[in-house]
Amino acid sequence: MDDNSAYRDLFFEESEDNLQQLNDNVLELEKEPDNIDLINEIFRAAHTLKGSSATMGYEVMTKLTHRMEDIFDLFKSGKLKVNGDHISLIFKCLDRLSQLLDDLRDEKDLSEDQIKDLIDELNKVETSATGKAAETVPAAAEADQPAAPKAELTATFSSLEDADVDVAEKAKSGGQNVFTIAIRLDAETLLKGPRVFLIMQKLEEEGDVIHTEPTADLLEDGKFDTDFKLVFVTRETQDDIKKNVESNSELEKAIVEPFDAKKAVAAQKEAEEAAEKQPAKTAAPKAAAAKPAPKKAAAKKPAARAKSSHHNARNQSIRVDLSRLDRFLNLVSELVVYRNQMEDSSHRSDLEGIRDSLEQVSRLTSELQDLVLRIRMQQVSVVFSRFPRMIRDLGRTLHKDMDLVVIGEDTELDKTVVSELGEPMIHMLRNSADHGIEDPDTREKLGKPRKGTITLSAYQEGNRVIITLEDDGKGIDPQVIKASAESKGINTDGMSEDELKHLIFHPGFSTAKKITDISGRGVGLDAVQSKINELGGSIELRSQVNVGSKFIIKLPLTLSIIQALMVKVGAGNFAIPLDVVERVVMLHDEDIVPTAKGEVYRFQDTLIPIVRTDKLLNIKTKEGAKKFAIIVKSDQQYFGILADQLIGQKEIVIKKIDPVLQKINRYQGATIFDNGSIALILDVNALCQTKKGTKS
Amino acid sequence: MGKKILIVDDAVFMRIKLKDILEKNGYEVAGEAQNGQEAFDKYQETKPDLVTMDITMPEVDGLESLKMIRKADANAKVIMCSAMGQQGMVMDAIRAGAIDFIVKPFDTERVIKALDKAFS
Repeated sequence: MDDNSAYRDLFFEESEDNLQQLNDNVLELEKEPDNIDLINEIFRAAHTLKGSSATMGYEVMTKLTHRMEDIFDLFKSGKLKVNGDHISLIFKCLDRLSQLLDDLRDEKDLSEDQIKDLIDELNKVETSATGKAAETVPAAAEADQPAAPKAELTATFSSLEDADVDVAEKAKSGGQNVFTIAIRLDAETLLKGPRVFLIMQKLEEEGDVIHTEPTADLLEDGKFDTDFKLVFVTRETQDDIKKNVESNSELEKAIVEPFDAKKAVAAQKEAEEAAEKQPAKTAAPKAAAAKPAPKKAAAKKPAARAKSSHHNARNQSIRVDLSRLDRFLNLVSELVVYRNQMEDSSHRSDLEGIRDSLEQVSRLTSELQDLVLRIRMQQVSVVFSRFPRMIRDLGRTLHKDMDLVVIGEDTELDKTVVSELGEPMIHMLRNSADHGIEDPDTREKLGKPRKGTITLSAYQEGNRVIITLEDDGKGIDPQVIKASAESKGINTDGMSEDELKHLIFHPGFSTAKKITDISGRGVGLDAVQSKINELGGSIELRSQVNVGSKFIIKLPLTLSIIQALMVKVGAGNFAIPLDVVERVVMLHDEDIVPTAKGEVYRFQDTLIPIVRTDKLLNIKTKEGAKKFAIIVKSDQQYFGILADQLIGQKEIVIKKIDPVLQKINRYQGATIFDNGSIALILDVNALCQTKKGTKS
Repeated sequence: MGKKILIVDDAVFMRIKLKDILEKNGYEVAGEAQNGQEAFDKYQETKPDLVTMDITMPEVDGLESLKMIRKADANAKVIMCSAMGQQGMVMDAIRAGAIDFIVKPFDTERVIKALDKAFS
């Protein structure tokens, strides 16, 4: 067989796209079951999926897509009405297919058992629609049987009628040639019906077919093994006809010889006897038609196994808009031009020339930097696209009626952020569906539409992307939270309503009265929050009882390059990500007020905690000198981080630091200064949370 | 000089595979198209010696495209690529003048044999 390993990655990528498209379209189909364009679209995607997996030799996958396609065919022909159960079954198939894809990617061998349950279910649906038993899967035993040795192909007939012989004789006396043509197709020939049709059509351009065996109907339906014979009347010569026949593909053998009525009739008796001995042959055309495929499967498997190991590591890939790539190439070639200019200028010690080219180089590098970031960008739709399906499934399981509205799917974010975003978003959506949206009856009593709406939107705002998740459900009741928190031993003294609501982000807190299958998986919103923080983002909550809840997630556009405020603490350089900085104030030691809960500073009429960076990081600084307080916002609260000196605002590239260093929870990473020295990037959230921890 | 072939299929995967097969066996790929309309346009543009035409494609399907091409060039050689279960479509294609058809999944041998036959 062919070695398909080179196409593996492409196959996976394209198949995943097809599956996603199927998912989307099937979801749509449930809403518009009579949309024939949609059904055609679905049919086509399924068809492509089948074709590709068959070509790759993935039999199990092919089989499942094939059976699924049959169902789509029934939808298409109107024999089967689309209903919720069918849609659910198809979704199950799609899920299984993506599982199979994963297995294949991991070089696992697939077995028929993996899809047996679904095939059974599909068969049931098909039987109910057509009233006949669905095409059964040929038993493995039958498929493995060695093909019985075939009888020699002969040009004799078994059902020649006198009338046919008469026609042949008349044609001969009229000066025409009559030939007997016997053809054996390749054992592997697929679609025998059209194959025969093609052969016959070519012949009929040069004469007339007066008799066929098996009958024309059986031939056209492909209901025969590999051999067929015909009597052909023509004005052409034997050689011409032989050429005509042999111009066809997929023939194993073809015989063209002059028709001899006596020989034909004499042989007929013999043939009849032989035919009686093998009555089964034509009786089981289906099984015969299905034979070649499984046989091939057996042959393909060992080869597939042999080529493992090359592809074990999953390649992470990203699709790039070609125009961006073209621009990239342009910029790089420009860069080369200026480098050459610079080289030239430096040979001539032409300082002015070097400066000019350098200016261009620095323009180009910043353009390149910008472009690379853009290339790394991915639309949030990559993650969002699976949510409508999820909400649909949740609605069915929870017996709630709800809609997911998605806005701004084309908003772009760094690939790393996008791929990490899936899990927390799923969790929050489940929460909204499970705890937020009420059941239809309750909603009606409250004067809301029976159908709940969850709105997911994404948009870019400056250097950040804002994702909001809003439901029109029951909202978060601070009193319920309070009671629940107290029962869990969390002290809620003196907390405002807002602070109470934010307790849902508290580790180990869950308002679900019972642990449900939907959202009670042991990870709470605290996990969501820490994931978002890890991505350099923040999450906010707004909620009103019986009106709904809204989560606002703010994420940085990219993870690797940020704007930062550079400061000095003692002799050390540090960077503070600018997006958390609210403002910078100068203060003296006497502005810092010691209280029972720690040091505070009066900022905009509220007292905010002071983080003494020097103490926290064990850095020696001069006592009593004037200091700067970098006012930052972390988790809805202001903090003042003290620094000795401001260096300025800078765009910095984040370099990863050793995981061990990362564990101490003080630094996000490091960056390199122009002069080669290193500055650590403060993890502001972690610093402030530590401060909070020591305070309470 | 190898014969020039125009590959028409909506799946990139299929196109790449077919292209590979053809190029390894001395054929030249004149172009690729991903739907029937593009196939027709590319046919006019590149004047290939033969077209391999997928049947199921978005917008203009293979059958329609075949008819368009044959109308413009009565001698156009088009080989249909079909999957199992498309008997009817293949028959229609033959009636519309397709010179042969290849059934997916295709392997090198099957494809090359069909092409060699088409040019013999």
